[in-house]
Amino acid sequence: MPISIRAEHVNPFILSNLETFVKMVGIEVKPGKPVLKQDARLDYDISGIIGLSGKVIGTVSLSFPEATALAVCNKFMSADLKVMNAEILDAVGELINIVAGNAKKGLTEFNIEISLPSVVVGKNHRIVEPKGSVGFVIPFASSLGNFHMAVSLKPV
Amino acid sequence: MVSPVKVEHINPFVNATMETFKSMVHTTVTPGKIMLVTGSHLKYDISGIIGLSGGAKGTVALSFPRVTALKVVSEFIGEKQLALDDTVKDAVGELANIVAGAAKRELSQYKISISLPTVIIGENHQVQGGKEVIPLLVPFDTTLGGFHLVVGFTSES
Repeated sequence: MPISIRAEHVNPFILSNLETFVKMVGIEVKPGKPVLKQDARLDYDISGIIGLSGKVIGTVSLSFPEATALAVCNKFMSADLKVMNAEILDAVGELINIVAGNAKKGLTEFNIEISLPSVVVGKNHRIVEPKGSVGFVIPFASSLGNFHMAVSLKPV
Repeated sequence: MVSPVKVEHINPFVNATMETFKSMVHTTVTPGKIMLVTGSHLKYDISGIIGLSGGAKGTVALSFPRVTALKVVSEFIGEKQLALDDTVKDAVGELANIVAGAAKRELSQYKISISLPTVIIGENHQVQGGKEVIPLLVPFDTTLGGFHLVVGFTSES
């Protein structure tokens, strides 16, 4: 029987993100209501993206406005960087790697394996999910600014 | 110290890109000199990105300036495209998917699975890797314009 993707499959990603920010960044983040990705028209300055494969294929990404990315990564690395340099890019790649790595433990029925991260930098870029996948955007609020997580999953 | 992607790992992706463009886009593409992706300032308007996992981990991106993307997709789907709309976005994701699938067959010893493609839209964006491996960039020249292939790949985990 084919797997159907339901909203609850996004929960392990939300939980993993909450945990990662508490443990690795040292702040609490508050998830908002997930919205279907096709309804979300959101522009970002930096995104970390990871591919997922197994019994489902998908992608998970974290996207930030520049000021939030700087604040989060400085806290994560105990640094005081003022501009988006290679260290910030590495930190965003590392954050999505940890989030995806922990989330797969909550989805053992899918046997998910994760890819290397890609980091995209560019003023007001947009992430588009492919046709045929179910995509959700989860807004997160934090004391360092707001950011978004996007999860797209598709049965194989 | 982070190492770059190994040459024997990049070649299957270069071959896959040449084959895909020949059979699907009816265009001969010529690879240029391979470069390291290290904080370079190469900027694009649309990218199709796909993750690789299994016995090796990686990521593949095909990145285009707007005009090249429109011409490539017009050839690919046999219908003239004038704007970076949903049709063009889907087609760019599909091209990345086909290239990754073809490269996977040449790297069968790693039992690679490929993820869903992600498409990035945004003027002058850059695509880079994380800190596990330095990605390699392969510039391609075609009669439809130039584009870049960016590959991150590591078989050590």
